[in-house]
Amino acid sequence: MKDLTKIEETILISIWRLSGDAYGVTIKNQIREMTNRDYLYNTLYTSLEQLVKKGYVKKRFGDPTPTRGGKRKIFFDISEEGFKALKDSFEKQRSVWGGISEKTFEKGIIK
Amino acid sequence: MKNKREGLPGFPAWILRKLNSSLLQEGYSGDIEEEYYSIKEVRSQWYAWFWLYFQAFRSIPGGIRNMLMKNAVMFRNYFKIAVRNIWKQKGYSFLNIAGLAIGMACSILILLWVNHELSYDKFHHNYKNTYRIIQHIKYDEVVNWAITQGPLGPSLKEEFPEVTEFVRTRGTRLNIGYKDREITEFTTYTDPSFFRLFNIKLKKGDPDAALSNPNSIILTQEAAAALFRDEDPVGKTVTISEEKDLKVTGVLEDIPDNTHLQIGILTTMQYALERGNSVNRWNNSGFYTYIQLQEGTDPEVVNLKIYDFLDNKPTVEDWEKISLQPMEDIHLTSGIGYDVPTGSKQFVIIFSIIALLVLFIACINFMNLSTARFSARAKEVALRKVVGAEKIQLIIQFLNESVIQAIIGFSFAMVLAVLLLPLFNELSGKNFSMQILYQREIIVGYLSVVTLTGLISGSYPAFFLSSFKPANMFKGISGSGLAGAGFRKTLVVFQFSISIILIIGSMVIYSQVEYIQNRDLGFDRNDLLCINFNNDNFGKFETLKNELLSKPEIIDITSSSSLPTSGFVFSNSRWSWEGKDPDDAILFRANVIGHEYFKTLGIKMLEGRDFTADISKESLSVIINKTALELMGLQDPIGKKVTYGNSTDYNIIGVAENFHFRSLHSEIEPLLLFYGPDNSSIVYARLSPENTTNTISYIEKSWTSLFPGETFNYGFIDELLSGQYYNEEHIGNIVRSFMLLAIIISCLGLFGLSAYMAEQRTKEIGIRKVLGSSISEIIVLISKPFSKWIITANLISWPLAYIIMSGWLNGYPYRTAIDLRLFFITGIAVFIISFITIGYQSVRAARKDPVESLRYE
Repeated sequence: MKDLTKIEETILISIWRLSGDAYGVTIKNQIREMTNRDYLYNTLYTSLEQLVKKGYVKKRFGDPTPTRGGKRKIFFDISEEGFKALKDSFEKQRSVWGGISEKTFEKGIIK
Repeated sequence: MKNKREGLPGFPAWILRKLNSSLLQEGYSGDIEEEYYSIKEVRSQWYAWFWLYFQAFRSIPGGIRNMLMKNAVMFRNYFKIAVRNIWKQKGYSFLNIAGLAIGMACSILILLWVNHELSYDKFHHNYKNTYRIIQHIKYDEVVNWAITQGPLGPSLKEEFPEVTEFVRTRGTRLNIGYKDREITEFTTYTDPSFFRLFNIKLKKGDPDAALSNPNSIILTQEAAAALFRDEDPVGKTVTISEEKDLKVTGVLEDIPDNTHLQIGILTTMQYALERGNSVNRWNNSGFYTYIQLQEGTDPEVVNLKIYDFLDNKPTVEDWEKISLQPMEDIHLTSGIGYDVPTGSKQFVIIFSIIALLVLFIACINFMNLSTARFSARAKEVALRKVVGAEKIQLIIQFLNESVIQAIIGFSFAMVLAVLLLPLFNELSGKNFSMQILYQREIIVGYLSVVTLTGLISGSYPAFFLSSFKPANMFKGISGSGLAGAGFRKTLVVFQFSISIILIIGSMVIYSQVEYIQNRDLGFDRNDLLCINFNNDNFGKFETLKNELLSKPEIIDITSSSSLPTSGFVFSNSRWSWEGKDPDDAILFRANVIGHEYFKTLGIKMLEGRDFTADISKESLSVIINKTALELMGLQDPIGKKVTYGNSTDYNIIGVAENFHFRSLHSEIEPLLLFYGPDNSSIVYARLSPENTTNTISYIEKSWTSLFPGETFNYGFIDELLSGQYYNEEHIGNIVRSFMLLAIIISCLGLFGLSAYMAEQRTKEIGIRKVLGSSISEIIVLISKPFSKWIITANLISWPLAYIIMSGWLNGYPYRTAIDLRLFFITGIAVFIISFITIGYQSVRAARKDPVESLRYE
């Protein structure tokens, strides 16, 4: 299982959190909430495509609405593999960051 | 049913769409629209506008990267297909690649050579402002000499402010000794400014100071190793000819091979003066003089100023002028008298043309073969088109195939070039190492050449094949116009014409070289040993002679001051005689010889007698050659006088038959021979042909015992002679290689073509066989068009070859005639070669089972 890139991870987490309600706009807003960063749609969709190709995410078509000029929404749901990938990533993070807290940072560069 | 509503601003929307055309396109566009409208609502129209443009432009870099990545996948796909196609037609692909590889390898090597030749002397600082002085002297016509008078350099600098530097060089051989070791090596006298004009590096020593002391000497690394072994030579003292001490002030770094300079060991001009050289005298030319002009000076202006500079100087001849020769031109200009061995601009041009020609032929072959295959590919093309391939896709695919073949060909070409490098070095007289092929600029250059070749060679077939109409294919219409037989025929004829010209050329060159090497030189060149002699040892010469002659294998001994083939010791026109027209200025060559010269060398005396052994008696005697006699127009020459300048009279005591004292590149000029056995630098020994090695060791023993410390440096005259024709042998070798090349490439082309044509006519052959033709009849049938082509090629190339080779031969005063039978032999040879090439295909086609042929779709 390949590692997730930072941005893929972020998107995947958003999709997970949004459970079922994740599409371009909502994902973008969720990410802004979580990280205070505003990603371009281009960036998001490139990574979304990668995630779909990797099988971590499944796409689902919604209904076309007038506000979207007649285009359908594409919803993204996390798949089993995607879930596993997230768990994997979380565990890796934990072991890498294990034992480190805010207090550790107060101590400075020397650990 | 599109709702015409107020949509997104077109431009940024368009950009966004193009940047991310993917499977999620719909979601993407939709999301953007949704957010756009929501922003428009919440904030304002302007803000929404701004947001949209922001999204669009910030997405551009990422979008481009995306496109490249995605297309990379597509390219990989095309690549796979192209490779598969190439592999499917192994035979043709191999021919194509081989042809390209050979052509490219050839061009690569030639371009290396051309590049090297053009780079001579360009590594010197300020080479653009450095010039050599050429002297023009009028005898009957004006001759150009590369050597000038000693004082010329310094006076030019003194008189003309534009001249910022000068340097002189003069070569000699010095005997250098240290402790108990001794060497005799080529040495150059020069001025301390040497290192300012020439970018020659010193391994040890300071270039600014090394020659400032007049008693300095700078050794070559080999000389230093021979004399000093592991000691540091700098600061030590060496002895010249056991009399003069010089201090070693430096050791030379190896000099680069792309310079005309041949220097060896260096020492000072003051020492040259001490040894009696005409450094400060105007009445002798023997120095190469170089000057440097101020930056920005126009050489033409300086030329005008210095042209008459010698008029008021006490020079030997009356009419002497000088002019500037740019240093970068020295190597490639030939024909100047007393010059160093040069290359030739014509060769550079000729070989560049040949390189391009070879590449061109290879590309044409490539194009030819590719289009010839169209009937086999036509079905494939038609099918693809029917299934929906776009024309551009087909073009890209075919171009891909060509470029890939070109790249594969290039890799083989590099391998070939490396393999052929030693052979090429031998042919060209250069010393390229493999590294030179790996230099970045060269590789970049080649890659672009390769891609270009692939694209150009491939473009024609690509466009042609892809524009083919499916309907035509199924109707079985064969190609016309450029793909047609006319074009192909021209190509084959062209290639074979070139091959034929090269074959004839190399045969003519060969026979000329043979002629030169075997022509009677007027003296007996067999088993004539020449030994370098140090004139200081003259006292012991008689002893040597007696000792050597006591051995029966040594027949005759004599000496002279220069080899019969390196010509002469001095030449000028200040000779007069009874009946000479005072306005005539005739150049006489002159040499100083020893006792029994004519006998030892086997030169016939026409009238009079040889010199006797009495030096004092013969001090004013002279022997002239036949040409001199004819030029002087004397009736009874014996006893007549020849006067030098207006003072010294010499008595003519004999007339010798003409012999070639220069290479066969020159006519035999009038020659005056004077007696001076005490002025010798070569000893000649006529040996009997058996057991020469033993004889030579005997001579060596006597030599080293009589002249301790002198090196025994010898050579047979016929070896020395063949060295003169190094150039011709070179050219011969090179032309021969090209001949082989041209034949190979032409045959490759022919082979492919014959296969194609046999294939084209498969049905026809099948039918003929059914109707009763025999195999041999069919073979004749297939071969007929080719025969016509070869005959045409012959007819075209014969006159051309004749003209070219006659022109070349005219450069030689002594030459062989062009044997017309050569042409016929070549024609027949080419016929045979081409038939062997065609043979395989035609026999195979003729033997094919008619059932198979008729079933052939």
